[in-house]
Amino acid sequence: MRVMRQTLMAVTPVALALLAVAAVGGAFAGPADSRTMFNSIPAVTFWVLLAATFVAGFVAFSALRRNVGLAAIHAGCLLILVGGFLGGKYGATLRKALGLSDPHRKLILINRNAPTNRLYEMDETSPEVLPAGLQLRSLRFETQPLARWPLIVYFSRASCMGRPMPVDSLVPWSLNEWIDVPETDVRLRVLSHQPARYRASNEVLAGPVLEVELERAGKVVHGLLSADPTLASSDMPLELLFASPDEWTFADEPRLALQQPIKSFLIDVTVHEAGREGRPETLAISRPLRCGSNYVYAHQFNDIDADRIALAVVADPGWPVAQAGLFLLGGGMIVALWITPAIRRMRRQTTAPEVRPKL
Amino acid sequence: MNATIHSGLVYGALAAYVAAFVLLLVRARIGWAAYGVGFLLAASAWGLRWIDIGHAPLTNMYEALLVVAVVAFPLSVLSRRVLKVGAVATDPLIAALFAFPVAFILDPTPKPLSPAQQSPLFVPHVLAYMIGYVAMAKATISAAGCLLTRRSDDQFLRRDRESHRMVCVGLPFLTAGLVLGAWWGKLAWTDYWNWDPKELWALATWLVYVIYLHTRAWLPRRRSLAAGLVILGMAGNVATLLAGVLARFAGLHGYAS
Repeated sequence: MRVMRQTLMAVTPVALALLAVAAVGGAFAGPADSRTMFNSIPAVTFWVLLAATFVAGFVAFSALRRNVGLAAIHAGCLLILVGGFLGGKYGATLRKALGLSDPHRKLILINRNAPTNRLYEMDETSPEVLPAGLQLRSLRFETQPLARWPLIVYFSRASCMGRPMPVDSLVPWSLNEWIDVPETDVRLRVLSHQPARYRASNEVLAGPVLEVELERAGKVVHGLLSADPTLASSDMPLELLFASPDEWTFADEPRLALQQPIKSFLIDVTVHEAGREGRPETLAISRPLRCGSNYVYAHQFNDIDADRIALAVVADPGWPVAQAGLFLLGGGMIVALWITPAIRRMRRQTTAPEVRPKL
Repeated sequence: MNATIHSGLVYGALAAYVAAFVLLLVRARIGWAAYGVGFLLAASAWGLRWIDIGHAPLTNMYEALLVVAVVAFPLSVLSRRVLKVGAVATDPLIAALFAFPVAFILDPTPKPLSPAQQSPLFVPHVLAYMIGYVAMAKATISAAGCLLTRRSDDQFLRRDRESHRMVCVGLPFLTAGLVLGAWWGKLAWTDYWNWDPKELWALATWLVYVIYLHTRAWLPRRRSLAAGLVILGMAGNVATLLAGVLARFAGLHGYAS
């Protein structure tokens, strides 16, 4: 047991250091490559071994089992690893083999006419359905009441792994001042500005419109830059309308837009559960709707037309496990590093006068 | 007008923190007074900004670093009174180091809250990290002092103990930031972990501090190694703050770059 303890104490920091180095590498590689790297077979083997060291730690160190804080931290880390595995690619294979429900990322196409619970995978119908039917009632947008909407440039940059990554950059502007448009050889000057006008609910009534002048290699064109308040997402590039569009365009180049800062978007739906009356619910970006083990997200929604929208539906069987792990980890840290030392200090202070010799 | 008053308060806070650093080395009482004045000015600047923009000012690096300059003083008081951790003279220097880019480098243009940021988890997530950074900066100064002191000196053990206490204060905050961020990510972006550069830097930094605690338990006499890990952890914190710049793409934390 002593050898096991010593081995564990030596292996754990090395494993954590390896993970830290990999995390730094992943930070430079970009989210897509990191996801691939940390879900590769060697990485999954590493995760399994790391989880095994936590279990071995519980077996080998009785102090770890006795100390509530430390036990919670280690159990929390273990549960996070298990939750991540259950929600990941290999966990899905295992669940499928065991005949358990499959974690998935699907779409639901809801409309105003009738409730639906049919899920889709890309363009194909999925065998899964939601346990409740959803019907769209309304889709509401609110924009930020800004006097001057910012200009934004959308472009792509190569990540360290050589893959193109979408990037955007805000461009500060003032009237009649030439400014360089990032990632291009274009200069821009705002000639006039028609600010946005709002309704009381922050919805845009009209505008904003910028009259701009663009210059490239001595050639100057005029254009109008407007934001369409019916467009759905703040990260959707808007059209730059040139007075003489044939001269040159931004095709295959960074796209310039007047950013429409969305304050919030709210999706009102009616949830129809079997044998029950329709229940009204509202989805917002940080407020998904829970339907059994599925979460319906307002994030990445797609408004196909005025009466139909597509919403993301995610079922992650690992999330409740990981959630318990996160709770244990956070709570364990507070108990181990704050509460336990404070109790020890208080005990020392209360027992000190008895043991301390009188001078 | 508010912008001018705000800038004045930030410059004033920076000047008071620098003065407090010098005065604490000479006359502790006056130094503490200057430190307190710096805190009041920085807190007023943050409060004024909150009123001005209509939401908690934590949406970009300018506002986040201003918070760091605000929380430094209460943390100094806590560490001195409760934890009996010294090295107070360097505390206003930490606050000044964070206030300097706020005053002279970063763009103060306020940004509107994006829909995802309008979550009750946003403010505690950022605030937990900022408090954690201040605690870890204080731990780093003690660790650096430890490395610069001879092992036979009493100061060596004292600084090592102080560094450890501050890591124990800061790590739960960093953990809370990580946990709240994961929870928020699940609600807003469908996943509790998105392999975002800032997330990965934060994870690497958190792991360095966990290795530090492991090392102290495993090799209690290797205090120089432990001190080195605290310094490495702070380098990780700085990298996490600057993740958007270092990784060339900011991911989900683009608002913070």
